[in-house]
Amino acid sequence: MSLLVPILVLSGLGAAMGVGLAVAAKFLSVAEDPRVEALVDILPGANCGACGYPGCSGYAKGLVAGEDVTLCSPGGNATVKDIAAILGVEAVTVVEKVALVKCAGGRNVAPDRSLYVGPQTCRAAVLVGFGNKECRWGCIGLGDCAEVCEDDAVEFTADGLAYVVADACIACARCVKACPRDLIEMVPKDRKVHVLCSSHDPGKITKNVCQVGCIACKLCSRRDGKSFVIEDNNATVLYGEGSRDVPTAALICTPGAVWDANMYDQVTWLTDPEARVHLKEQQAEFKAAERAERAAKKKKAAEAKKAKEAAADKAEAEPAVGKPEKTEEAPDQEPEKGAE
Amino acid sequence: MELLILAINAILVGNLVLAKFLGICPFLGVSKKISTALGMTMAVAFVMVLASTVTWLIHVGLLKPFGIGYLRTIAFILVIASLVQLTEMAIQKFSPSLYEALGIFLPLITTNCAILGVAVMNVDESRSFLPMLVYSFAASLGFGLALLLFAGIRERLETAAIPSAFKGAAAALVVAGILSLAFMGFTGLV
Repeated sequence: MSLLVPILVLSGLGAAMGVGLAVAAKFLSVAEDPRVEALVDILPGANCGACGYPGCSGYAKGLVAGEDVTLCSPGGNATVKDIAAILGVEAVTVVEKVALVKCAGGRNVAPDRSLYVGPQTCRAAVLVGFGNKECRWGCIGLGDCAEVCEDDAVEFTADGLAYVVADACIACARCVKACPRDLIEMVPKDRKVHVLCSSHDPGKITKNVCQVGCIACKLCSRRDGKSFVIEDNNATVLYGEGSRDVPTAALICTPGAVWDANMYDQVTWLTDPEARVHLKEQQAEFKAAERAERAAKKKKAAEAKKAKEAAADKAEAEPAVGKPEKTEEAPDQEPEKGAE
Repeated sequence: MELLILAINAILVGNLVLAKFLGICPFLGVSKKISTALGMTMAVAFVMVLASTVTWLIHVGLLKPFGIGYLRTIAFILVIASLVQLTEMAIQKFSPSLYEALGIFLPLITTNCAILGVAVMNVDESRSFLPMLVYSFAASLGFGLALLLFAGIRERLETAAIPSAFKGAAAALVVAGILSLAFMGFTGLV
């Protein structure tokens, strides 16, 4: 009996609490928006955080609360369309993006200044006297970006330069945050012409530390000011509206800081010395052609000027002949008026 | 008058957090912002008064008559856990923003020693119903006072120029210690 009482009391208490909670759960249940579940299903599930929410389910909740539908960069246009369909809003076309390492200076072209033996992360390396590279802006190649990339899209050249394989990149932008030198930028996937240099040193210094660095000579921005801008000693491609892939940009860039994907694929461009040699030839050819064209134009202009001058001479002569004719006509008409 | 003394004792002299080391977890965890600290204070106050009342009733009406006072701890924990669950559901329903802000600390009230401590203290001191009610409410007010003071200090601490080695949890614990030191000044007030 003395054993039974505590058992009964405690189980009775437990049962009462359980029933109470079950009833409360029914009355206090929070109905979740069914759209949230549908949205979680169509989102890529990468939980990458590119949208600014902690995960796909967070973004789904945000979407139902009226968040911008274009924030999912891994999903791209297809996902925007699906989201818009579920939410019943109009789909917007987004520019699909991809990460780009804006540095082409592997150790072959941008040498190290010293040996670095500290912790093997870029973040640590840049803390030691601006890093161990001659160029204090370029890629160190210790792979902080590869560390955070869950899709193994970051690879390295033999000379310790990180680059992003566009096909593997889901545009989560985690590497952008990871790079202590801010070398990585999200660029439109369909763009082909990029400046692979982030140095803000004056051209003179850049030239000394890197063979392929931008020296801010303004040749590109002068050619197309809507697509290139020189800011703080560095040429930047404007990827926004009104800009374009300037087809001649790579051909006029003296140090070869402009990479044109139509001419060379990424790996060739970054690793193959032949590509540079080939480009130099192309540049010389282009320069010659342009010079010839300019000469031809000049010649043509000179000819045109000559022709114009001749025409002007002629025109000057003509009115002298025409004027008397007019004065002759006028008196003819007046007598008629007077006769009426 | 006695009730007033009891209340002042619970709020200042025998402050739950700063004099009795109870409820340190939410004190350190939810004190980053005054707004969430206020939410936590209200949740704790609600649960504390409710839990103390119910546990007192169970003790007086169930455990004592059957002579099974030794089941006190497990019975109280059962009741408190259920009440916290209930509070969690209610907050989720009526104030989703507070629910988000409290996060993990709401379930942590379940194992909050302050709640169980107050319930046990009430029974140990064999308080009658009214003093029990006053003490529970005052104790939760004392908890809230400590929490809000601390949150206010921490908000300023965020922008203060303090040595980087102290930043974060270290500074919070140091401040908690100093705050406790200050409350020790109330000793002998009643």
